[in-house]
Amino acid sequence: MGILSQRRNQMLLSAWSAWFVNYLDRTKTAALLPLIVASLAMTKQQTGWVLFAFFIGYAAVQPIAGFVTDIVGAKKTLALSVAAFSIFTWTMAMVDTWDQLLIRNALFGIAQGFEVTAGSRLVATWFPMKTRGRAFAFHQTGFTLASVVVPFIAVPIAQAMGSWRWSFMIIAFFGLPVLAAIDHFIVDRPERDPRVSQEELNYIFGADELSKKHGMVLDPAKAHSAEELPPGERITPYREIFLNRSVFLMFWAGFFELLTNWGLITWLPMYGFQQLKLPLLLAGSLSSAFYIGQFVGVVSGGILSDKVFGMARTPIWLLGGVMTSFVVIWAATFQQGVPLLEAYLAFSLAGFFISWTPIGQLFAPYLAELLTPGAVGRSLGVVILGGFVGSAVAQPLIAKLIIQTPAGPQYWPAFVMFAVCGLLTSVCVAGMIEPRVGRTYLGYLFSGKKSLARAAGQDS
Amino acid sequence: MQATCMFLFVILGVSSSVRGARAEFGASWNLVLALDVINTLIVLFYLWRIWREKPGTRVIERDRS
Repeated sequence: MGILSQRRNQMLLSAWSAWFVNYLDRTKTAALLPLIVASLAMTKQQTGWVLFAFFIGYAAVQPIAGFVTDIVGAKKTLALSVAAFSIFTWTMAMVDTWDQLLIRNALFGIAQGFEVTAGSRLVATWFPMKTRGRAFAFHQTGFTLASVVVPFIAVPIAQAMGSWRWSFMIIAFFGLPVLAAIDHFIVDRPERDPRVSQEELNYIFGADELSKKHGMVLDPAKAHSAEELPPGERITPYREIFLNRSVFLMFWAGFFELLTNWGLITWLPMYGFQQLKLPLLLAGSLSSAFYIGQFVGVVSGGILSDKVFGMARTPIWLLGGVMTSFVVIWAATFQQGVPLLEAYLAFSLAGFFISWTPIGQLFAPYLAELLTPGAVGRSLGVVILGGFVGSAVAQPLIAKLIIQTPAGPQYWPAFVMFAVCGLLTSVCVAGMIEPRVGRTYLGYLFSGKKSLARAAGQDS
Repeated sequence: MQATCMFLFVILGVSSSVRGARAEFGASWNLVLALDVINTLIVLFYLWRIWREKPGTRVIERDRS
């Protein structure tokens, strides 16, 4: 009997596979873009609109997805998301014009937008605070790994079959085993699953919590007493979810963070090619260095939060924003002839520290501990909305900031903007309540580590 | 089979214009249609199974055991 005999780990692996296939599905469009553009005879402007449609669909659906997750249940929401993007993937193989692709990419974004709130809510509900950081770090490796492997899956299929359409046709089938896993392994709450042993329930909720009287009101905003709620939940009115200083600041931290993240990822190959004068393949490999850095960052952040920072989540984010600024300013000085290893190191460190920010990792544990696991979907919907608005505005902003010089385009003004965004991310985090100590983490450090933990979550 | 394909394509808004896709898939076009139908039917099957699951059923099973 290994680690996978635990029901919570089976659930986590199923949620991870949904997140992995979700990212594989969404990043394959970018990997195949040169082939799609040639096949549909798209202009640069049309290509930009097609990519923008995904982000807008994804961002617009977030608040709704959060509500659906908390009200309908994470399992059904996750299944709906995987089912929808499996079908939209093959319909995208059928498009003939750029506007058909635009509509389907927007629908695809809407379908995919339901995954993150559902997966996060499941991890928040099924894992106790002491291992939640690491469990969620594992969940987040899904997006970093998928981004690294997608060129090795989508492009070879297209090359072997002679058309980019076959990649969409075949990857559409990747959703089916994920649906089977969701059907078999995922249950919304541990105490509702007859396959969970009493020992595992004790591990998840603690024997004390389980010995209390519990009810069946699944929405913590609708309960009138703690006894009406299932184990591990507390009454959390809508006012506390949506008029919450920390959720508001997390929204803005997400905006600045994803502006930097997606701005860098999207423009990195172009920067390598135009400013560093690297061959196209090497310029593209800067993105791979970035994603590898993100993978290591996600894993290390979860472990450090749980083991070194005593389950506090915000210290990791405080460091992440500041360190991102330093690394990006370093990268802004690079010109033609910079040693390739130095460029790889800088951009892998950029990926590493950008993952140490509020939408990179630890957001599900944080919101579960600040509010309650039953409110993770709704609060996260608001936070992710901020992040994806940042992603959408990043593209035209960067295009405006690139300077044309006789030696070619210069990207340093965009990099300075990324560095400012990194600092602003940390400024937002500095104002957020750390649930573990019941006050801001800097306030806790400056007061000589005086905890106000009993006030945790009462910052609305 | 053909009717089912056409129904699904109309529902999914694919039927409007697939001439370019059909040309690119060439002789594999019928295989592509079959794969699309199979994919969609399996997806709908799982969606139906998961959505008809009533919340609380497993709690009752647990209490009985």
